[in-house]
Amino acid sequence: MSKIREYTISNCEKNFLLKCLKDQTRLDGRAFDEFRNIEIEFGKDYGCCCVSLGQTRVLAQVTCEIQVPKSSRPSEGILNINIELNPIAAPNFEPTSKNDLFTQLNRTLEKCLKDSKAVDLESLCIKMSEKVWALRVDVNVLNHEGNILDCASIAALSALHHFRRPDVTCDGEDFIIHKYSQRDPIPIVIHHYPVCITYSIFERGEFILADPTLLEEGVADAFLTVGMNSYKELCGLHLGGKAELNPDILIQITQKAGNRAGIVVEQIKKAVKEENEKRLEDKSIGFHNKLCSTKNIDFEDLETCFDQWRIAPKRKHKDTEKNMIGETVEEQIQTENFSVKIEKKGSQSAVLVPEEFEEVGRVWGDSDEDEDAVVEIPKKIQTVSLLDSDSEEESTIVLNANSQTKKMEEITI
Amino acid sequence: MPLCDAEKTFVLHGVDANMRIDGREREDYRPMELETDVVSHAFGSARLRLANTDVLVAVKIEVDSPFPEKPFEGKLEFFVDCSANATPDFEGRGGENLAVELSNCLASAYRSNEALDLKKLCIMKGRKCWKLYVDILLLEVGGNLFDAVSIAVKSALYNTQIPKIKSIHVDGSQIDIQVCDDIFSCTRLDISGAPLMVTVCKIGEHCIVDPNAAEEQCSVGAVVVAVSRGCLSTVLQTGTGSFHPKTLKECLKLGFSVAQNLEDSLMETLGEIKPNQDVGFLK
Amino acid sequence: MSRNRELISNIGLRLDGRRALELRRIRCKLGLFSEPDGSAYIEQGLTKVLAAVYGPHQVRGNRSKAQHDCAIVNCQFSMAVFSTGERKRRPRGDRKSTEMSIHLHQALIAAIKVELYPWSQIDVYVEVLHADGGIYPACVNAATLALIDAGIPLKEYLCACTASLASNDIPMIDISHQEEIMGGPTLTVAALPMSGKVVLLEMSQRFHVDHLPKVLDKALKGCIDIKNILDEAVKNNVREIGSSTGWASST
Repeated sequence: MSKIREYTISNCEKNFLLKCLKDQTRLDGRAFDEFRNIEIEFGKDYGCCCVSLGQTRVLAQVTCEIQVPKSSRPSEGILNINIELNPIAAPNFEPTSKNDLFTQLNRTLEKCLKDSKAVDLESLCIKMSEKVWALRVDVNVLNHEGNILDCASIAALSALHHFRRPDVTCDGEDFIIHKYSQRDPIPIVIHHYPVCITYSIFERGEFILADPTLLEEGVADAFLTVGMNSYKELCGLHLGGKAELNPDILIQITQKAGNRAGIVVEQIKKAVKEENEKRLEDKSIGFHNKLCSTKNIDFEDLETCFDQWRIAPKRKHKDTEKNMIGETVEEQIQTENFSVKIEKKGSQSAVLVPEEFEEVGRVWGDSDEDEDAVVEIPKKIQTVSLLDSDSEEESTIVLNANSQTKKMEEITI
Repeated sequence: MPLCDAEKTFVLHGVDANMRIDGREREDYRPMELETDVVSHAFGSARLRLANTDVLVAVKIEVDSPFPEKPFEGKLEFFVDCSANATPDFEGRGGENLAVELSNCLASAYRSNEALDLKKLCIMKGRKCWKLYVDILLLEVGGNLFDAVSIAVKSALYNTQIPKIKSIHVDGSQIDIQVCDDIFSCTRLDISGAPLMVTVCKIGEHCIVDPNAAEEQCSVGAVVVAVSRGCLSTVLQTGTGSFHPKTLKECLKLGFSVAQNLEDSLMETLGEIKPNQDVGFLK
Repeated sequence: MSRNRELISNIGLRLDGRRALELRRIRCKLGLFSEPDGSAYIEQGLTKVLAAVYGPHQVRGNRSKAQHDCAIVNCQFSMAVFSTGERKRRPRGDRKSTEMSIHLHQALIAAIKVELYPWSQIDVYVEVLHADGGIYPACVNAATLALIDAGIPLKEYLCACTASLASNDIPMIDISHQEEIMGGPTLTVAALPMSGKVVLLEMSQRFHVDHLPKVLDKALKGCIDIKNILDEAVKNNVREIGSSTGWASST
């Protein structure tokens, strides 16, 4: 059996963090009670949801199938919740080993969502003792930057709220499961929304941090996960790590969590509502919308973009000997005509073409450094300027292989 | 605890002189304590303490359908669990080898019809029968496991109460079984044929019965003899040593005679057990 | 789902006839087995748990696990297949057993003085013989007794107790299996009773956060009561062993 690699934290990191805490600051600048931003995105299928809490990212997917119910509960559906710690999330996660963290996360999430009876399982019954819907929530951790449990609980809840199961009609003996296109799928009945809220505890309760990052989690003595719904009902509590706490501190933390739970549940409901509206209006749905946050790039914007890039270093050297260049450039700034042109080449590529290159070339001729190779510039030049805007190093213009003269030119600015 | 050579020689000499290290003779058993009805969830249970060896057996019953080739018979299943309390080596899956050996030995000892009449466990021919789960928990291992386990199993089966069936309704494929409402009305199993195992160890030139942990380490080989109703039910050879056919015959004879004595005293003890006297582990 | 039977009846009695804040009968015994360094048996109501402790001894298996400044504590929780009403398929290795082992480890680390035994290992094995609610507290209490029997130094007694809330907002302690499955919330607390520190806190089902302080308070009181019972049992045991070797005559 392979050794489970542990996430090691150096002593300096630990001491630095503790020192910062004593000065009442956190490493990412948040207040002790502040939580990171939650972003909820939905995919094309019902029940597919990706949640990020700061840098921690988690993907949840809900699926359903028909199964025989448990003999002790013949009229209830089945709900299975499973968290997978993928190796992609952190270097110390291994695909096969089930370490303590894995068990703890799974059990806490199960207790919070299943044992608190958040989902109405009786509505999932098709035929008592024979057929019921079995829901399966799979949560995959994509990036571990602290506080997986909060993120996972939000993802699982959003996915369950977003999910729709197919409609079933009974035709005497047979059951017909309708396709999504035939009949509208039915959402899951959720009684209440329990979310998990985690706090890290340092120095026996002296410092209590909400929503810990990876480093804070590793350094903390203990952590307290509170599962709460918007009615301020406790749905699960777990105190872990090397804790030796006064009960008053625990009660204090649960009070704080109460306020937070309401906010999170509101956000989930709002996100799902927006998503449903988008679907109704037939707007494009899916993850790709969020990932490409910019629209299709306009060529004019691209020109502007490149030109800013090229102009910027020259501005610094207005007072150099190459006044001609500077002046020319200044003139260029003043005028509306930019000196570059972008030509479209093919479907997904473009080329930057400086229009007044010849002018610049002439200016070079007047420079002091006559040893610079002078380029015979053909009319159409395909060049790519590689100006580094901040540095004062010599930059190079790489000429296209097609041009007749293939010499490296050095522009000194 | 591994023994050094001097200790092994000491044990060997003791056996030769018919005075073992704890003062017993070659055919003597260590003192035993037997208690039945220890586990309240189970239909029958027994706890046996053979000096350092502690075994807890519980019998549970379920309704099941019989094997297709044996429609008149019930089922019997053994499960041995080596608890880590006995030795840290049994942690996790460490005790599985021993557990598998014990359960296979028990299964083969109870295979014959003479041992336990499985026909009594039939409810409805080919459709429903009782399935007995015999669960054995090893709490402490101090030598001579096979004997202790077989005695405890026999006692637990003696103690087992099978509910009496009041009526059976057959409704197409649905079978509805009603048991008697009176919790004290039950059938008992006939365990006069249940086999008892005796471990015969060969140390030096002689064979001994009921080895303790130290003696087990000195022996080269052991033979486990299961005896039921005056006949051999199963014979198992454990250990790495080899037996000369003459020695083997002697061992079998010895085991046989010891088993008869053991059976007589066990049945006498079981008859003397009064109900509701359970003390469990508290004494 | 409607429940016809209330967890607490009108006259204030629970399903098994106890009052709201009464513990079940606790009987325990130390030093049952000769092979382990320390062993104990505890009965809380009908829940029966055996605990065995081996150690401190050299680290078994993977030597690199050994710590230079403290002992490592290895816990295993296992339930006998006949311990529950329905027969269990596997005694250990499933998720619930692993979770119990982790929680047990967490509680014991807080109580044992591990800094006294560097490079060593202490094994604690717990076996549940009969499960009738309150399994975790019984395991913790049995482990404490077994550690005392083994002579391993502890900071103080480690006790655990379950508590719940009846529908009429009355807190109850020491929950039996019947009361658990009837759907009431369960709060499990492991604490060091003399200093009042909470070492482990677990909750399932749901109740309003305003009730938490009083339920927690009652659970901690329950832990203190259990500690008194365990203390008496330990003193009796020492007296018994001591009198056979003549200690009592010297005091």
